[in-house]
Amino acid sequence: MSGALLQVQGLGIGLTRRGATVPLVEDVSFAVRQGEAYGIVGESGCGKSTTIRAVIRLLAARVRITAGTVAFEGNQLAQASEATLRPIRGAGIGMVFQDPLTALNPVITVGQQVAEGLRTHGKGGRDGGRERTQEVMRLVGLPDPQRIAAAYPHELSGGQRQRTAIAIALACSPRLLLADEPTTALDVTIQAQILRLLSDLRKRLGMALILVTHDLGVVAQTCDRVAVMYAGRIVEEAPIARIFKAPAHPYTVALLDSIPRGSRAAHPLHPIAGMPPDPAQKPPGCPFAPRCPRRSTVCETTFPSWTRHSGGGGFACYHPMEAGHG
Amino acid sequence: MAETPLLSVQALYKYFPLRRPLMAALAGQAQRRVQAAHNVGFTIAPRESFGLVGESGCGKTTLGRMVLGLLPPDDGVILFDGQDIARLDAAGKRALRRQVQMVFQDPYSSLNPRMRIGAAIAEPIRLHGVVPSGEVAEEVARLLQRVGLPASAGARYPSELSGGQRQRVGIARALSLRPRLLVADEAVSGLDVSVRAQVLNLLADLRRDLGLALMFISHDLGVIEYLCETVGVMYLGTMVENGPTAAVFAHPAHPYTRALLAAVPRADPSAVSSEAPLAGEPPSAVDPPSGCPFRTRCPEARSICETPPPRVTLPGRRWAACHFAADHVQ
Amino acid sequence: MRNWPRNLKLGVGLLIAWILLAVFGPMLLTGDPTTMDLMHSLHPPSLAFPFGTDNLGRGVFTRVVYGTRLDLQIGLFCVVPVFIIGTTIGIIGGYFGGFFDGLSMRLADVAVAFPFLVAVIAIVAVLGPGLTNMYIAVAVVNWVSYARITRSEILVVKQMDYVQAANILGFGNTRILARHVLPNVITQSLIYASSDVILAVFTGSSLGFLGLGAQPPAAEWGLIIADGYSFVSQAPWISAFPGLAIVALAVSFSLLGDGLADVLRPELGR
Repeated sequence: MSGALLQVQGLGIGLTRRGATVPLVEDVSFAVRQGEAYGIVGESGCGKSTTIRAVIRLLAARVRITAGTVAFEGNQLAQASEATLRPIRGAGIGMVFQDPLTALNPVITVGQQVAEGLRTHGKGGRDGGRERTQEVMRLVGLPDPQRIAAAYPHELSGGQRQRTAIAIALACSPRLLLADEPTTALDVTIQAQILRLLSDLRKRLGMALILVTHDLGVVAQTCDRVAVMYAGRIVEEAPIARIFKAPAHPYTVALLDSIPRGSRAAHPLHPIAGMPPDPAQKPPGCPFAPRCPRRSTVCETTFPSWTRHSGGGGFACYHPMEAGHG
Repeated sequence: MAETPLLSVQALYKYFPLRRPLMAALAGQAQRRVQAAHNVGFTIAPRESFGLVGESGCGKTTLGRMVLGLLPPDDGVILFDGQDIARLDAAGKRALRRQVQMVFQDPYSSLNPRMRIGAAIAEPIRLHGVVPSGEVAEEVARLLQRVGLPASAGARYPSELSGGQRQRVGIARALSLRPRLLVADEAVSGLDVSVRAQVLNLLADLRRDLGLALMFISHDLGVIEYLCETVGVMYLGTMVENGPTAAVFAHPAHPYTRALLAAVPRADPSAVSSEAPLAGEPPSAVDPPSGCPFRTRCPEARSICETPPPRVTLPGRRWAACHFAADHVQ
Repeated sequence: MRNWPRNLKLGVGLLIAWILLAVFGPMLLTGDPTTMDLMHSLHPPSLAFPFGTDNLGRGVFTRVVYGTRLDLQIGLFCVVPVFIIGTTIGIIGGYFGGFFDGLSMRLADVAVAFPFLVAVIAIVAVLGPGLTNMYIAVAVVNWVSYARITRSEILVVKQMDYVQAANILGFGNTRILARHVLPNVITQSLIYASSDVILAVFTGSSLGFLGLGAQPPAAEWGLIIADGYSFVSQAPWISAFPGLAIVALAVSFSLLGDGLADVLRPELGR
């Protein structure tokens, strides 16, 4: 895809344990365009967080990239040195985490933490830093930035902390913001505010957003395109409307069918049985096959190749849902 | 009302005193306290599923603990089957234990890691003599099967099970005493979407088959709507609205209920909400606003809201604590 | 046992070897650990005297083997009573809280206000030298470690949902403590105890060396080291071999403690 801001190709990530490598993510490819909001959705352990952490190489100990490439604005990141990565982290790509309390340093004031990122990347000199800090804090909707800049993280509410974390990520005007379950720890009314903020900022700053979440509702309200992950693989990718209207992969359907949409009497749920496989004991073939109502023998031996959707995206399944399901 | 309620909570108050620094106490500063329950009242009929919904810090968990008798209220009455649970003698308390049980949020910490699943379920059965001692093993197998686990799970340790399976064990253990009311505090919040749907259906089936009443505490409105016939909405230690779930969710009478419903991200990209989200954050429960607790964030607040709102009874067995409740449902 | 980690297997094996040595070793020896033989004083190690002899002509090997008995006994008597007392105090204080908890923790603060060895020496100095008084002194000071470890574990476990669940299921306090709390808090104390034995033996030897613990002519490692102290330049073997014995015993218990930690608290990671 030309004009892609971020291009991930054939990404494989493994956990090394007792000499063996357990695959966490296999053959993941996607591209994010400038200014686009891209969602990655899946259940815990599907590799969605690992995937975006790999983009800026914030992987846990013993977890490493085993295959594939990550290109950001033409820079190869997958095997790049720390020195190459440093100017890209923050200035090119910002990141927001699930738990804003652990993502902030508890002994440094919020204002200093925002300013620190600015200084590190040489934006705005000594006094310019302060001005820019307050500007960024106003941008993320923190009331009374002067007072909050002087506060420590524990003195803020959860919503204010997440706003601060976003301010830090935005301080150097990155072209891409990675958000890993940014609203999962927040109450629903605060979640609505933060999602609205992320959408507004993206449009105003022309920044691309990758939003990782388990919540299909969050994706529906925020993203342009979405990838559905299961057991370390992208099983379907599509423009947002298509995923909800005409999902092709049976797992996407199962996920959609697991969301309560009214009382049980009116809209009973028919969840699929079982649970995702242990990464160390993934079945050969399609990892969803053991739970899949549409599986056949071929599903149990060979992972299906990628089939393109007509309107962009695609899916990996031998037995996709007929068009118009759902 | 046709039936006498199974659980009746009347004018319940609970405050947690904050630790007061010694100097503040010496200076004669008033004791500050967190408002966890302020004049809360509701009933649950036999076999009814009641949902308690609200954001963190609204007091819903404290309310559940008081209903379970784990925490004494400062004031007010909790009647279970017509009996005041605060006035029970030892035997009465023991009997109450069998009637009211709980399912916990965290399936990882609610099971003793050093006890096999079978032993954990058998323990209460044996202790309360639910079945003759010769039939305990059979009863355990029956309960495991009832919650959709193989009998072989009884020989496992909790660490060998997944989160969803552990939650099923927690449910089986709660059912072991054959309770009439099950209190579930965020019982599906820690579970993944597909597993959550399984456990929701299990709870609904159990309720139908065993004639259980359910007090389902959750922050998730979708889950409440799916499972509960009636709902109570909490904000800052007060119940702001109560009534049949379908009616309340379709036509909320309290502005907070409406804001809460509007804030839920709907899994439908064609329904992207254009309405501005509710601004601000809930005020501290230490010094809640006078009058209506929601008035500091309420888009409709007027000066009358500084006085405590009345409990406005509405058609269809519902009420809302808002001066303008009647206008909202017209 | 087959699944035990290597350090535990080794630790248990060495511990069994030490116990066998303490029980049967002296029976196999012909010499007596206290009989003086001035004809053979300060002999370097030889076939007849594998560890040499001390200034009074006693075989150092014989004395070290006999010392195993005494030093294992010191390890045992310094740790077991303290383990029981400290753990009990920690459990009661941590679970029920209140006045007893406050009192015991303030006493603990007092007990650890002095460095361990200084406190033990001071108490022995008051009570008079000897092993029994040393045991008392160690107990007075060392219960604190066990009480604190257990108490802090209890405070965590008490909040766990499974303890709450036991409450809701109508179990009595005794049952909750014995079945649900204790098994989940005792491991940390056990692990600590196995390494605490080392500290106890060191303490016993230090006090023996200072003349406050085991009294001459008893064969106790610290005492033997003290005997050899004046002859370190001429006859280093007198002090070196009991010293090596102490190190070897310490290594055994340390392996045991590590192994126990791996088995009992796998969540701490391997």
